[in-house]
Amino acid sequence: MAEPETIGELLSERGISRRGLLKYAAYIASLMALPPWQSNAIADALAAARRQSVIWLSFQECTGCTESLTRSFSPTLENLIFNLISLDYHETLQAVSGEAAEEARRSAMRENKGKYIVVVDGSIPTRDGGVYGAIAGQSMLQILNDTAAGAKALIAVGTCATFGGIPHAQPDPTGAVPLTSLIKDKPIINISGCPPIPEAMAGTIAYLITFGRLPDLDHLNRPKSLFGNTIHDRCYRRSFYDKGLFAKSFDDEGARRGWCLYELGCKGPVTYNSCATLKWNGGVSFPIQSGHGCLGCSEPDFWDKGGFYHPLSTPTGHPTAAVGTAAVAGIGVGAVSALLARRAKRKATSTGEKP
Amino acid sequence: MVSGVLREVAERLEALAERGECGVIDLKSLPLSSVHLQQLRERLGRGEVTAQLEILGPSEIWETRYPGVWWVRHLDVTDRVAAERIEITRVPDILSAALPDVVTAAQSLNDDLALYAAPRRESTDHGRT
Repeated sequence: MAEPETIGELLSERGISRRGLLKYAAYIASLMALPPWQSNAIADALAAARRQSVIWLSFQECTGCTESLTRSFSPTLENLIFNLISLDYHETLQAVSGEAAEEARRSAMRENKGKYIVVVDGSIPTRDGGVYGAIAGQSMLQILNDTAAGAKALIAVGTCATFGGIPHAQPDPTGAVPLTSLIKDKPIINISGCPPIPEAMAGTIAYLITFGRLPDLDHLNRPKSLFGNTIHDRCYRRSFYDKGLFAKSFDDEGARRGWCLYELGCKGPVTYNSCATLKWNGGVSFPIQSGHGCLGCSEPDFWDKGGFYHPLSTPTGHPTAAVGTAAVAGIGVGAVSALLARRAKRKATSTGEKP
Repeated sequence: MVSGVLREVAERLEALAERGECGVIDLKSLPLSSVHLQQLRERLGRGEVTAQLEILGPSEIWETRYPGVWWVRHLDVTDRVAAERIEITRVPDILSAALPDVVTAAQSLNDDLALYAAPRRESTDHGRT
């Protein structure tokens, strides 16, 4: 029997009807903030598309991003993404090892030259010629350069790959850098977070396969549909912030009443992500709903921003200190603080400093 | 918020009635709490048709008490809401059998008939002897 050529044929062979694809398309349209009436077009495009070759490279990382993608999924609807792609290389998930594994990567690169997508998780060590990270006798730096050369696009998943993350935190002994610092001639999508929300990874890949192009990206190369709002903008505790009602400690009356965690160090006002709407663990909760402030893990250098329990208004040398007065006055300053954060980032980028 | 959504539904229902234009409102993209959703469900009510689907997890579709306005809720196998929308249309597309599935079904049914036809002939032959 001939191998199915399109995703539609493959799904049909696996007993998944076009209704299943329509349901998936409704899910993806909602996830990626696409016009909901495009569901039919998305289903048609996916049905006609070929499976996308994906090479997943793991560098300086903790495997949390892979855990997020695989462990948090229920076994059917969201898992459909694994029918849309051909995961040709992934050190943690592949069955083969050693030379056979490396040959699988090289083979996928040869057979799909110019068409494959490279997913990178983890930062890349560059100090001393990149000697601080090697796989199969090659430095991570070399593997990335070789593999990226024939790629159609690259997706950096997790804050390590997108912004350097924890390996890049001070004192940064290995000279860890994000993907965008090294690859300049290919389209790159950043999906930040420590780890990223699994739906964000799956939705972005599905978008690429469906439309054959990148989704709209923000100034940090992140899909606007998933990173267009701050946690603060969509937080269910926002009304307490607007009324000036703040928890002062984790066990006071305000905390028990579910008041805003801003003064306990919540970084929600300067953090762009979808945690407040998509949530975690199958939509059960997200950090703020569980009583802890946002750590800001999807933003650059979140580890070096002066302490998770210091409110943004505490003088830390960071420009967002200016938002404190407004917060006490109970004014909604999410947009202002976000603007300040972006200005800081731009300034840091232009001067080569960390923001 | 609930009234705003209802006004949009009313506008799109007029478009369906006058020009045959279908519309969809993605409820998950709106900052609606579970209380808002409940209020919206109550305001729209339930009409004559309810359909249960079992595709990659359950889905439930019902026509509201306003014909042409359908509530479509897709769940995954853990009963988490994957998509929830109001469709303004005569029949939601997902209820219709898609042509590729019909083609496969026709082939499958013919295969089944062929499979069952063969033993029946044998049985008849046995009867004759």
